[in-house]
Amino acid sequence: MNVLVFIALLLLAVWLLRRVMQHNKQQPEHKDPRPLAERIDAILPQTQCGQCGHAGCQPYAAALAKGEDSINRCPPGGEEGIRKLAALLHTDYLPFAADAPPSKPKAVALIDESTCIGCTLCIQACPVDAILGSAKQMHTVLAAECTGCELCLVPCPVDCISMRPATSSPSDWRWGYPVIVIKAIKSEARP
Amino acid sequence: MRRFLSLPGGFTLPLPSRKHDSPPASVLPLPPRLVLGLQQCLPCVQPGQQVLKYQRLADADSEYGVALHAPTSGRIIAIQPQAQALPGAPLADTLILEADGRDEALPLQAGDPSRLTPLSLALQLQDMGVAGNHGPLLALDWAMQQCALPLLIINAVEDEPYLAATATLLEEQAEAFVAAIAMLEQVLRPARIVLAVSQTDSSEALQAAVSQHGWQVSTINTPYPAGDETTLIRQLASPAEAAHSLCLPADAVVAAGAAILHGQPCISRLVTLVDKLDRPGSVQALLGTPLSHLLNFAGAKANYAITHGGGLRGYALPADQADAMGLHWHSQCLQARTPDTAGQQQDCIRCGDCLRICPSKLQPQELYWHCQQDNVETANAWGLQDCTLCGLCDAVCPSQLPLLDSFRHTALQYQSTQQQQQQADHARQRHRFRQFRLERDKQEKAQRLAARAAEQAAKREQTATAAPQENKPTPAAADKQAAIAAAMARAAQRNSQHLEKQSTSSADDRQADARAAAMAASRQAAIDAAMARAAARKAAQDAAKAASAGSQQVDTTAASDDKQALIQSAMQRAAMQKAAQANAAPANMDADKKALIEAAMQRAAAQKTAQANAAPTSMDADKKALIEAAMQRAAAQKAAQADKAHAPGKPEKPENT
Ligand code: SF4
Ligand code: SF4
Ligand code: SF4
Ligand code: SF4
Repeated sequence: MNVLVFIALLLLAVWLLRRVMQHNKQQPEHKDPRPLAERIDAILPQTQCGQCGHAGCQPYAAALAKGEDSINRCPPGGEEGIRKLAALLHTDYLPFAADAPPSKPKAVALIDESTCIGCTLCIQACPVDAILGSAKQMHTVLAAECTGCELCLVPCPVDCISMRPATSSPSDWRWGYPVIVIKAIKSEARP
Repeated sequence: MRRFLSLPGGFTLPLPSRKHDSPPASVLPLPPRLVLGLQQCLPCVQPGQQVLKYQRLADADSEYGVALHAPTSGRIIAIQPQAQALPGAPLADTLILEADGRDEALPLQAGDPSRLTPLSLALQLQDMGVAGNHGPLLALDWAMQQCALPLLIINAVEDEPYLAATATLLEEQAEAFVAAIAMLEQVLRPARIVLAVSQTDSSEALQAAVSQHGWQVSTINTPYPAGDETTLIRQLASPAEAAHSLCLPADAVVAAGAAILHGQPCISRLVTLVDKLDRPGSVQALLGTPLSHLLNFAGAKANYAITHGGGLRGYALPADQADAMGLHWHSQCLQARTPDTAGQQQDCIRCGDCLRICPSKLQPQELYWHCQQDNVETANAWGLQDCTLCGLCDAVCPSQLPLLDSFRHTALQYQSTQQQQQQADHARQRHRFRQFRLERDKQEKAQRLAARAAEQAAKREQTATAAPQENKPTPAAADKQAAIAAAMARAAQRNSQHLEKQSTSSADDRQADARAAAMAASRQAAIDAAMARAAARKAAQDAAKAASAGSQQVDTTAASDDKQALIQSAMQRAAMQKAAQANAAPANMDADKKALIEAAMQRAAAQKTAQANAAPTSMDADKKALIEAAMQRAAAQKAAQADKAHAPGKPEKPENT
């Protein structure tokens, strides 16, 4: 009888403990109903530049979701992007792949309008339809829509497209990163 | 989200005592050149142009901007990006005006406030360059709503150490101040006007003038940050009034009075110059005056650091750029510090002073920890968004940690991340639309081809049936023909559906594909119907022709039946072949887009090579080398991937969800 009571108490204690543990356990993130590839795509930078070796951000996201590629191949995403991907996929942070192109500050394409011959090749290359123009007419880049993917540079037969640093607008202000001054502390003479 | 206990103690900051015998404002000598930042305004003058004082230099670029006027006569030297006297010293377009010293002014036209509505007042203030805390003094969308104003607060409180410009202004220009408030009262018709002053600011002259008008003077003696708009409204407005009250800073109200009553655009302001200076005090300075000119006027030592703003919320500016940074409307105060006052930081000693003083009941030491780690998510969970950036924690911290700076930095970092996310979402939308558009174009082309093939087949059939004269089509034959046409259309549809399915599997874009499928289906239905209609019409025509010809009804013999069946089957075959041909190209593209892209890349590279050979310049050669390298890289990567995929016993990575 005593044993039975003891076992019952033990079970109760275990059950209570589990309840408490469950209650305390922080939910890491609420369940997102979207498929994994979509969720990965949501944190990729959407430059659509193909530097990851895929035809865009979405195919890279699909490959990541299938575990067919590593998370350190997207230069526009930067280290921050790798960190986010690692957190989402519950894997470890990886440094940039050695063969990945270096990451660059955001730039915007600019068409030299006097050289442009209106061949429309860049329009066909632009993944976000950021180039405006038509056959035999001068073309121009919508700077607000350009993601800086550089895909329009290669097809241009007269090399009239160049990348310019994205202009900073007042909304890009940053407080300078707080710098902590390091002071040398006099070391006490040891005996 | 964590909840905080309401901490006892509140906040009582021992503010450094302030002299209130504010000396009369001196007028600054004309600087040789003025540096005018163009924020939220577009220049309407050209470099090299001669301008007169009060002439308009820039127009507001949106409803949140204000216009800019020439503070003195001179010549525009340049419009170029330069560092601004703003937190972080961002680059922005700047107009540089070389003063000619003559100070020739345009004539001013006094206005008549009795004919103004709130909206026209707001527009006129925007044109005159009178700015409040957020854009124009009277927000245009507020003025457009035309709602009644229960309470107008004129904010003359200065609660940060070192700020004294408003006090000086009220003392020196009391009449102008009273006239400006009277003008606002006349136009805005508020039910109640409250003048909020700090304890020592309420001079008797002002009291008398104010009581004459029936306004209320409220002395604010609550501790810092009492001078904030939100705090003032919470303190002075009843709950019913709070949502619609307006709180205007006193210096801007004086400028508004000058703008409306005398027609004088806002071109100068009172600035307090404090700290390590020979002649500290308030000066009336033109907007755009270089900071170095101001500080030299006040007798700054050679080596100083600049803090812009009051003692708690001020921010440091790079002193070596003081020549290039011009005064703007929000420069109330400039401090020249000796450079070594910064620094001396230690680790957090967990004294808890900061959390006792925080008016938002946050835990600055925790926040600081997460901000230092760049852990924005956790910092937000600890209430970073509730931090009013009042700077009290920073002031009391015995370890002199840069609490305020890191909060500002992280808050802005968060904002910019949000912005980037928005841009990325926008780019994704555009990219997907482009994919959808390409897909749609391809399908339309395939359908066009199928329709044309079907048409040709029908035409051939017509000629075939017309050739043997004795074989007059009967209604039965016509029916058959229509049925065949319908079957062909169905086959074409099946084909296109198949194509679509393939493309769906390749492009993972469900939404766009669903849309595309819906559009394609509707278009297909329309084409089917049109084709069926055409077939029926043709059959009817044929029947009518047969009837009008008056030829006898020929029995459909077994032989002709056979012949017709043969022709039809041949035609069907031909049509199928054609459709298959038409579909083959896009299907291949879908199946092996990558191969095509690669081929295109190779073609492009070959083209480039040809070009380089034709006119070999070093740049082309460089580019070619780069492209080749990239292609090699891609190829190597692909090979490695293929190897990996084919490697036996490769563990399946589980899909993490
Ligand atoms: S490298 Fe990054 S931004 Fe470029 S396509 Fe790949 S995932 Fe998108
Ligand atoms: S304009 Fe050029 S760089 Fe900009 S998004 Fe289009 S292809 Fe990329
Ligand atoms: S700056 Fe933020 S954390 Fe510090 S006292 Fe003010 S509200 Fe609190
Ligand atoms: S006041 Fe400074 S030292 Fe004290 S707990 Fe806060 S951050 Fe730490």
